[in-house]
Amino acid sequence: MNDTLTLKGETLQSRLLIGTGKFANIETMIAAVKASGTDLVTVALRRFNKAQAEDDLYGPLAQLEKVRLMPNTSGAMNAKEAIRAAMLGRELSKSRFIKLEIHPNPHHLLPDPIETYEAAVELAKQDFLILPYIPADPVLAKRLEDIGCAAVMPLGAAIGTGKGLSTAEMIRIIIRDAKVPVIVDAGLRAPSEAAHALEMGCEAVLVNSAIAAADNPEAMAAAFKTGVESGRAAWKAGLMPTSEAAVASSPLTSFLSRDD
Amino acid sequence: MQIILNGESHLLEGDISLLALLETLEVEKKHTALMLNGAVIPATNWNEYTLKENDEVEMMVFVGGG
Amino acid sequence: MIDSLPNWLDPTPWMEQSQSTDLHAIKNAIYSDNPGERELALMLSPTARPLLETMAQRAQTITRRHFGRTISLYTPLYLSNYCNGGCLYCGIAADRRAIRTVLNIEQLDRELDAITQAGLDEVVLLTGERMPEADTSYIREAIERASQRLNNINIEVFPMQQSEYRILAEAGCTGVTLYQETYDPIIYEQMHRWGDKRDFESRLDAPHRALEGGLRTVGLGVLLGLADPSADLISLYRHATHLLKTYWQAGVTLSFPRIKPQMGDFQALHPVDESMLAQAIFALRICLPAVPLLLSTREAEAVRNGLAGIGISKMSVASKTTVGGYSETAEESTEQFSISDERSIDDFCRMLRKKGLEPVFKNYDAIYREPVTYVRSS
Repeated sequence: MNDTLTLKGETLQSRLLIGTGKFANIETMIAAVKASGTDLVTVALRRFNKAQAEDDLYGPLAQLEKVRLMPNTSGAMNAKEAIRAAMLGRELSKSRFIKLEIHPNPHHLLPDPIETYEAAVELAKQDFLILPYIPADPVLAKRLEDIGCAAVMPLGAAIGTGKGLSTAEMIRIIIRDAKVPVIVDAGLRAPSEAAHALEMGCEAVLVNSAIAAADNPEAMAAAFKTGVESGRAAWKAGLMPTSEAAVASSPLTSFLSRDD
Repeated sequence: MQIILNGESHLLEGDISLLALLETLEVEKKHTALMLNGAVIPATNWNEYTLKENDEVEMMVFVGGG
Repeated sequence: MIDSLPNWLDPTPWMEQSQSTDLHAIKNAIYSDNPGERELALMLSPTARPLLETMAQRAQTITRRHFGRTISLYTPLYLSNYCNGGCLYCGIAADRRAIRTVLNIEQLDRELDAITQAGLDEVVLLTGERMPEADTSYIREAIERASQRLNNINIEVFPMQQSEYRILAEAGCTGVTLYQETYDPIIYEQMHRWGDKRDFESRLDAPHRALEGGLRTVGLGVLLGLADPSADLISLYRHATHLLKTYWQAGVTLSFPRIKPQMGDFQALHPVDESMLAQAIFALRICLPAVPLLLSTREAEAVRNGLAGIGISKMSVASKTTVGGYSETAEESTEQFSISDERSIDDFCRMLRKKGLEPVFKNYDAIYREPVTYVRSS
């Protein structure tokens, strides 16, 4: 059976989205992207620097078949900058995908919900396919869904912390309420955590640091691929419930067997 | 004539277009997005714009990021 | 008329599970940490009957977690029993021999005073189908008078247009109760022999219009006994979750009206006994942990005592189903259905307290009463 992920009409085969930052070099990154099986990677925009022309990812990524580029707005401190970054990104990627991320505090890189919402309103008018990186806030998630975001991407934990699904309970609520796919972005460390996210009903995960900062990124990317596939399969198979205490002593349903 | 290119001053000889600027810098045009004085300029319009004194040009490329 | 339900309401994909004989699968459904249509269908299966106690325990745990040890109380107020409707099962249908009455303003005030003096703060105002005797402007007047005394004013009247709901919201109306009766379009057509109510789709769309017109809550329900209860309850669940996801700031409540076998001359096509009623309530509580589930005085004392706090979180009390029934000043009128639990408010609250449940008379304050506007999202 073909179990694809659909984002506003765009179809993805893989439920693992990859970030391209923090790799030791481009070769390692490319190897990891290949091993992950992803078909959507996110890239940042920077000023061109002739001295570091080899940082330009366009060429290397363009050689990967079936991998689509999703520019992100990292570096933007507010809605205005993020909108500008999105427009620039679309010029290069020639695609509607945009990962909207606005994190004004460089120490923790936690998303600014207000600027993110304002940017999303504008980008939706300009026909972007918006994947916003957000705090695990169920109300914000619905507000972003209402204005036409293609998915919502709550954080599992702060970027790069590897604290896993610290926000699991909030993400559970977001999933229950959402009409659009929920993608966990940031915080994951281990493939088991990616599996956990998909077991809960997340439609995908976006992983960067956990792969880039592993001893062997290529092997870790492959491990995440398996984790995501396993978690998705488990979600579809239906997890058995956790057990509760045995039935209490005083029956609650005796009223049903009375004689009137 | 002087322009600001990626935040630094840059000297140009004569009237040249955005497209010509990229060509003289030997930049991969397909890999580059341009912003002129804060506005995004689509590649199709690069040849139509002739740079003026103190124009601010940003050349942006894709780099690694999550 | 429509031949089949829209996809978002269709129970068909889960009907096989509603007949499941797999006890293990049903147990898993009861304790699922992510129950949906599948789990609901499994819990509605006849095979789940021996697990009713387990479902009750689970339902009680969930009810306590979300509502605490409290029961919200409300009372219905019949404004009019004039009706041109052709509902086969109804005591005040146009072709029934009925004494028709509508409250005049003085009578309405007396009824509202009686309700206020009893300590209640929430009322449901009821009429039949759209009639000159009780039209939108009459209902608006009733809402205005009610909102001078009470904080929570619901209506259970004919489906209206969005602009009418807006007028009622501005008059102080907070919610609308509108049962689809059944989600089986064929049976729906048979049951509703003439009149506006034959329009299944317009009725289905009315909760959307109400929320977009500025009301805060919608009450849904099926009249148990009309159609296959599993199919209707799965569609009811789907209707509720659809509204919750679309109008995520709005409140949705569910009620469980039932055609009782011993009642009137209308025979239920799919009789639902007390155990099936309990099974339905437990199953929906397990699948919708935070949605208020309501039970009326149509049910017997013992059933109401038994279900209070075990799935049910909100109950009507001291109901009069005749027009002018509270102050006993209006002329005699025919009731829409008969009451089974005739206890006074005091007696009913005593029972609740004995069960360790606190009766709640007021849970909303009109200081916030500003019509809100929900928008139908994509």
